[in-house]
Amino acid sequence: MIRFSDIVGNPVMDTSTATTVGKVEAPIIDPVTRRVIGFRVKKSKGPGDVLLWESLAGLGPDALTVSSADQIAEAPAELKDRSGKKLDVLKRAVLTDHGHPLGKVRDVEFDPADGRVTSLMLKDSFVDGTRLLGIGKYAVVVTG
Amino acid sequence: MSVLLRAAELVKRPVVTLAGDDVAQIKDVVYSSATGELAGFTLNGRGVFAGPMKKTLPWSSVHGLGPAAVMIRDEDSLADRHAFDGELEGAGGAVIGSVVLTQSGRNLGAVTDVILSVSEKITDAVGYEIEPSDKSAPRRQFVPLPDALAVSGEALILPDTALDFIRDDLAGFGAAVAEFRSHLGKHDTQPPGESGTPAFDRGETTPPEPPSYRPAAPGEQQ
Repeated sequence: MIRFSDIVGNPVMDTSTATTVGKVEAPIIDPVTRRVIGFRVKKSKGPGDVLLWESLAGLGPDALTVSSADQIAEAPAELKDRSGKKLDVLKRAVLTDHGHPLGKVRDVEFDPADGRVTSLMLKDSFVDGTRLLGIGKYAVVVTG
Repeated sequence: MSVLLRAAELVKRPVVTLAGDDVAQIKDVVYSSATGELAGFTLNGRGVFAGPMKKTLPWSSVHGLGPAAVMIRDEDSLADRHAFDGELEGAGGAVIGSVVLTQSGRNLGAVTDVILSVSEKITDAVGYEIEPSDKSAPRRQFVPLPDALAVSGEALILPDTALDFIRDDLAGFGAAVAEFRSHLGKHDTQPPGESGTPAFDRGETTPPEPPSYRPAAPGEQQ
């Protein structure tokens, strides 16, 4: 399992030129499939700032690797909102579907093999990734 | 499990979809004029400058009601403004501020808030918080409501037996309501004792902090 805190800020390396082409800014989670579907990249040398999961060459503890800087592209239309800053999951409040507050998301743990979110880590509790219902601009909603 | 809460506490609470977006906030509580049950909510937009919304939220569309938010499935759960024609809006409407009279004509005080009992599916107005007309009485009292009561106009008429079930705090009020209703021959309320603790504190309380000050043991000088 890998945590967001382990990879945020890590460099994105282009394996063809062995240069840094960006830095991981934030992971992008699809609440429907409950998977990490990509990463937002800052200081990107590619045409956009979104690196989709399929475009990754490697996901290691010290760097993400891509085959070329062009893999860091504009977000596809259906992911425009989802990849934006306004829907970042970290520091967002967590509510149950009955309206009870659980705290804020401190960290997220996911499976590096397929991107499956295994748990949301709050201040002093864990929420299993399978309880994830939605990630909105107000809150992350989980089953109660 | 049912919990008791004041209707006024719901005002300004955000309305959040299961996708996590806040689409509105509660403007006011609407009661059914026939039964006194909660009919739903009128809404304001979110944000400092947002005004009243044309949409309303019927109680039947509420997915969950918690201390932090009113949850709905999605934006389609909101109804249009005509859903509540003929019903009573809480503050500024007929309920808050009206005088509570017993059947024999004693004035108990003016309504300051409505106490709701919230369980998984049913929400019912179970009592009123009143400011007693008797100045020697506590500042706030809670009077139970019969199961069905027409709330309208300037005064609310309660049976004389309601006098025995007035409480000074919410803690024992849940049981008093159940007792009062069974006294009136209605048995479809929650068993007493189930709502024995003040509901809105539940889930938000933190365990008492251990005292941080500890006298230094001998020989432990800085």
